[in-house]
Parts: sequence; C-alpha cells; structure tokens
Amino acid sequence: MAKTVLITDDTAFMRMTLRNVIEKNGYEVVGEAANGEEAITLYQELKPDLVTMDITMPKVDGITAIKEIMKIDPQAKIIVCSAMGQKPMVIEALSAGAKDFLVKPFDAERVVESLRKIGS
Amino acid sequence: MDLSSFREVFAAEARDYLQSLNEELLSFERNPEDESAIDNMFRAAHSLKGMAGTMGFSELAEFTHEMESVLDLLRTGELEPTTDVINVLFRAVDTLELLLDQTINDEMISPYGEQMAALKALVDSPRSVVTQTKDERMFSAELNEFNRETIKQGIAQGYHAFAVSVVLKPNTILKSVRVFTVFQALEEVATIVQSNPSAEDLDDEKFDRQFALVVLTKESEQNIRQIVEGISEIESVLVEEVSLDDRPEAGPQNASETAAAMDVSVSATPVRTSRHDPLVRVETERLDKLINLVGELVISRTQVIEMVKGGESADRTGALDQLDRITTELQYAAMSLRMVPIKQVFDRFPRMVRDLAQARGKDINLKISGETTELDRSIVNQIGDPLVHLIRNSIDHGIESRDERIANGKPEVGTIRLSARHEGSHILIEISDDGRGLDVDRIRDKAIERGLLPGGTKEISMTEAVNLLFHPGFSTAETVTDLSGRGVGLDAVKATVESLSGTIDVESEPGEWTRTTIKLPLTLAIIKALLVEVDGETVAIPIQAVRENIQIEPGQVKSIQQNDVIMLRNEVLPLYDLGECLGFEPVDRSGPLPVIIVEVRGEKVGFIVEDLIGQQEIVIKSLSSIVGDVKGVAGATVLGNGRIALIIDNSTLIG
Repeated sequence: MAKTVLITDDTAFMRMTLRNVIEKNGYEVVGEAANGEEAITLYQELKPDLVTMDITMPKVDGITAIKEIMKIDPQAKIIVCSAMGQKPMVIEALSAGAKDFLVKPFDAERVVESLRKIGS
Repeated sequence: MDLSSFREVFAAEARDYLQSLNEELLSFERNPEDESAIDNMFRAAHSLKGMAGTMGFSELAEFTHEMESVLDLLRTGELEPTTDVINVLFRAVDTLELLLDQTINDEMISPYGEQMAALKALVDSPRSVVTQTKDERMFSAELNEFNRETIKQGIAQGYHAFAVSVVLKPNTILKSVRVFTVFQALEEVATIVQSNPSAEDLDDEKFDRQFALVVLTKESEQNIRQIVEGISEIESVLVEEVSLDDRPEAGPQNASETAAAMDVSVSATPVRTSRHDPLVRVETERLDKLINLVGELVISRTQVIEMVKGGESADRTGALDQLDRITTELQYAAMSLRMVPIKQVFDRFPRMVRDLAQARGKDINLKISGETTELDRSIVNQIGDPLVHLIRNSIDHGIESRDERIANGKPEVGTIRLSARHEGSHILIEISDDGRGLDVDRIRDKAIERGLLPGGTKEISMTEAVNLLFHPGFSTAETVTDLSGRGVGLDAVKATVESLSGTIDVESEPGEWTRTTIKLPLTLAIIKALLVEVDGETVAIPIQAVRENIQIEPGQVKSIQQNDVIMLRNEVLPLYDLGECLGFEPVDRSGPLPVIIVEVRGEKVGFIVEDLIGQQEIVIKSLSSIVGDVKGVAGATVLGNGRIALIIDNSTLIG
C-alpha cells in the first residue's frame, strides 16, 4: 500500500506544490495541516507514515509540533521544511526528532529522495 | 538495438580483459622495463572502455577511462612506475572487477570515488605521486596523540575504528546542517573521535563537498555505510578500517593493531570476499514450479489450520502459528525470486534516446524515475519491446524539431519522461513527452484514407483518435523511418500489454504533451485479499485496493441523481452493491450494512456486501479461456475449504 503523508504548511500554495510532487511519486497524501496544532491533531487521527513540517506557522510552530508529535509517537517520521537562512531552527527541529530537512524552494528530486530515504 | 543479448558476451570478454590486466600488471611490477606489458594493459583498458560505453555502462566506462589515462602516462614515460603507482593500479583493477560484477548483476554500484580520485591524482600531477598516497592515509598521519590513544583503547575493547569519508551531492543547500544529520545518525551507534575538517569548519561550511570522520563503533563497516547512505543528499560514502600501523609496539595489543592495519590495505578497495559468482543461474521453469508449489502449500496450510482450529491446546496453537509463519516467509521468499527491478529494461533507453535523437537532429532529454520498482520477471521480459516502441514514437512523432519548438515558444530541448511506480497491486509505467501531442485532425484524415472511418467524417474526439491509433495497420508517420512508423506499432504494443493482463491508455494535450500509461499486475502469483460474502458466494477483493471497512445503517444511504452515495468524513462516496455489480442477487438492505471502501482508478468507492469473512492469502488462477475476460473479475481462487471464490478487478468493476 502506498506510504501515507501528512503535509504541514501555512500556505495553501506550498501545500499544493508538495502534494503534487508527493502524489506523482506514488505516495498518498492523507491530510493537510495549516499549522502545528492541526498537524498534531491530524497526526493522531491519520497515523501517517511520513509528515512534512514547515517551521514558521501561526498558532503552534513546526518545532513545537515536532516535539509534541514525537511525544505521542517516538517513531514518527517527520521531514522539516525550512526557508533559506533558518539554519538554527532546522538544527533545533532535527534535534527534536525530525529525520530529515528540505529547503525551499523545493526541488522535486530532493523531496522524493527524502521521502524514500526516511520512509524506508 | 536490444543490447541485452550481448550482455553475456560482454561479461565474458570483459572478464578476460580484467584477467589480462591483472596478469600484465604483475609482470610489469616484476619488470618495469617490459614495454609489451604496459602496451597490453593500455589496450585492455581501452577496449574495456569502448565496450562499456557501447553497453551504456557509464560507471565502468568512466573508471576505465581514468585508468587508461594513467596507463598512457606510464607508456609514454611521463609517469614513473613507483610502487605507489602500481598499488593504485592494482586497487583500480580490483575496483573494476567489482564494478563489472555489480553492473552485470544489476546490483547497487559501490562508491568508487576514492579509487577514481587516486587515478586522477596520478594523471593530474604525476610528480606528486608520493604525497598523494600519503594523503590517502590522512588519518593514520593526522590522528593526534589523544585520539590515537582513544582509538587504541577502543579497539582493545572490541570496538571498530572506521574512517568514514562522505561526499555530499553538488548543490547541497545548508551543507552544515546536512553534516549535522550525518553526525546525528552516526552518534546513535558510534562515537565520533575526530573530524576533518574540524567540527567548527564544518559548521561554518568551510569545506567543499567532502568531509571525513573517525568513529569508534560496535557496528560493522557495512552497517555504518548503510546508515550514512540512508541520509539524503549523500553522493558517496567510503568506510575504511583505521590502522595504527605506523608505530608498531610490542605486547599483546600489537596483534590486533597489525590485523587492523592489514585490513586497511584490503578494505581500502571495496573487494568482494570471493571470486565466485554470488549468483546461481536457474531456469525460470524451475522457479515457476517452485512458486506454484508454494502457492499450493499456502492453500493447504489454510485448510489444515481451518480443520484443526477450535482445539485450545497451547502446543497445537504454537505449532500452527509456527507453520503459518514459515509458510508465509517461504511464500515471500519464493515470490521475491520472481521479482526484478525494472531497471533492467530502463537501462537501455538513455543510450537509445541519445542515438535516435541524434539521428533525427533533435535535442531530447530523457528523465527516468522509479527504475528500482520491482515486478514479476516474466512481465519485465516482455515489456521491453512495447516500451521501445512507445519511446521511439515519442522521438519520431512527439518531440518537434528544435526550430519548431523555438517557434512555438517551447524549451529548445524536448523532454521524455519514463517512470515506474507501484499503485496497489499494480505497477504503472508512464511514458510522457512534451512534444506536439496527438493531432486529432491528422489521425482522422489518415483513418479515412485507410478506410477506418467513413469519408466525410468531421469531428472526432480525443478518445476516438486514441482508439484509432491502436487500430491494427494504422500509422500517421509521414516518413517511414528505420525504427518506427511502419504501422505495426501501437496495436502490437496493445496486444502485448493485454497479454500480460495489463491496460494501456494514451492521453494528450494537442501542442503540449502526450502521455501513455501502461498498467500491469505486479505479479501473477499470490495476493492478499479481503474475503466477503454476497448472495452466498465468497468474493475476494485484493487487499491493496481496500481502504477501510465500515458499517452503515440503511438510512445513511443517500441518493444523488438516482445514484446511491454515502458520506464518509465529509466526503461523498459513490455506493454500489457488490452483488449487483457481479450479477448476483443484490444485498438485503433491511439491517446494518457492511461497506468496503475500495479505491477504483484513484477514487474511493463504497461497496455494500452481505458479510465480511476476513483476510486471506490467495493464489490467483486466471479464468479459463472458455470463459474469457469477464469485466470486473480478475480471476478466481481455491479457498481453504475447497470452494472457489471470484477475485474482483477493482479497476473494471464499475463504470
């Protein structure tokens, strides 16, 4: 069965772009979260195989969401998505348990590589 | 064009050349004045390069090219045949041997960057040979006293000391963070003793793409390599045992150190443990027999378990569980024997596209993805020709000439994409191009000319056009090329795909693109299925298609335009009666209804069934030719209780 993915990003455009790349490569996007709070709720509900997590988001930011999700499921496979110049935050996200990181603007091949490597 | 039949010949001949390289190198080492040895080596390397290039084995070609350059320098006397040079060559031959085996067997190519770099270094600055070899031992030389002591103690306590050299992919963004992920991953299983460049420099990104670490770990060399390879944006990883051999000491520790030191010289080249071929060639017929027997065993197991079930003896339950596990594993093992990566087929296309594009004077970029997708061997063997046809079509008819593309405001270079991926119990192969798309009017004219359409036919739809393309004897090629446009194309392709129980579909946006999708079953043997009951019959639904099972009250069935639907988490799903779909009696809707949510052509659809029976592995048997293809039915299977169940084909069941 196709690996399931939960996309987290506060902009609909980025979610759409990611969904497009992810679905084209044989993964199933089971949910989209627009902030960290939604991501935590949806993670529990959908139990996705993989999560993409933006860092800067309203309500609950990505790093807090990663920490919360890791508490719920220490096996969670989260890929953190950042913009250029967010190095300290990416490091923090990785230390909190994210398994890989992607830098915007996304390169489709990189996204797929990450899903493949982290998902396996 | 099909080079696969030359593979055997290539492999045999390449091995001969390698053997001769080894022999001549030995004799050259004994007698560096021997010009014939060096000439023979040069020719062997050169021939290998040419052969590898023809087969499209780029790694081999690239590596032999570098080797040839070194041999050329030796031949002309520009490079002194020092021991270091000879050693580099020996290791290069070993690497070449490994590369050859891996290429021939379609295995993962181990990183060979370091051997390549060693050869390049000889070519680039022949005079600094000695310095270069010292650099390779960077760690022995550079380990400071403290780290040496740490490593020595670690080895004494049974740890391995490895030098891990990592090369990042070009254009890696946030290199320092990538390095951090490597540190993070390694620190889970190892202690990082030293890094080069220093941790500070790595953090400040004061390095190009390469860095190296010395670690102490209980993990094997292979595990360490796999851990690093599992990280994104890593181009290559080399793990070597670290030696402390340059300062021998007396005492018991010395033995292990010397052993470690010896290991370096061996493990520095990724040498395989034995020269024997790790593969056994087996007739496919024998494999098929094995798989058939395993299939029968699976059924028989289910029967036994059903018969014995009910007794609550712990011993018996334990034994049955064991039987269950073993047969399941045996079944997967047998299945995996049939599965091969589609890479075998895809590998020949880069070369083919390049050659054809050049011949047509077109600029075409071929993008391949999903080449590691595995599918049944018998399917792989037959899918090559149809794909060749489709790709040739894209090159000949799809992609426009450079001038035409520029005039239409398209990128100068055309793109053909070839991809494979799993979808449920199927594999999808897509060939798409950003060429001129299907010219519906031209297809119509041609069809009229061929008498396939009545004269004067005006408008035809894209679907009709596609159907015409698949009609035997149809071709729109204006010039008959040597490879395509003979008009035996697409109908033959369709016939092959259908003979593999697959489907083929063409979509196109005129002027923009064409996409052909081939859908094939993953395997022709065993699948996991959800068994349900309708009208007293057992029906199997391939589990990959099942999304979930729910129970609804009859009142929850709503109607939109006379079609039944249900609401599921704010989604409206069409609802069908599985009994009706298969021509049985419809399900009695007086009580709660079990509904199976199934994915049909990418959409979720609900099927009402009488009852759920459970999950089971089933051996797919095709319906006999007397019955022929039945819409919505993929085949049948014999159940544990000896009864027959139909297997539904979710892609054709409705619509």
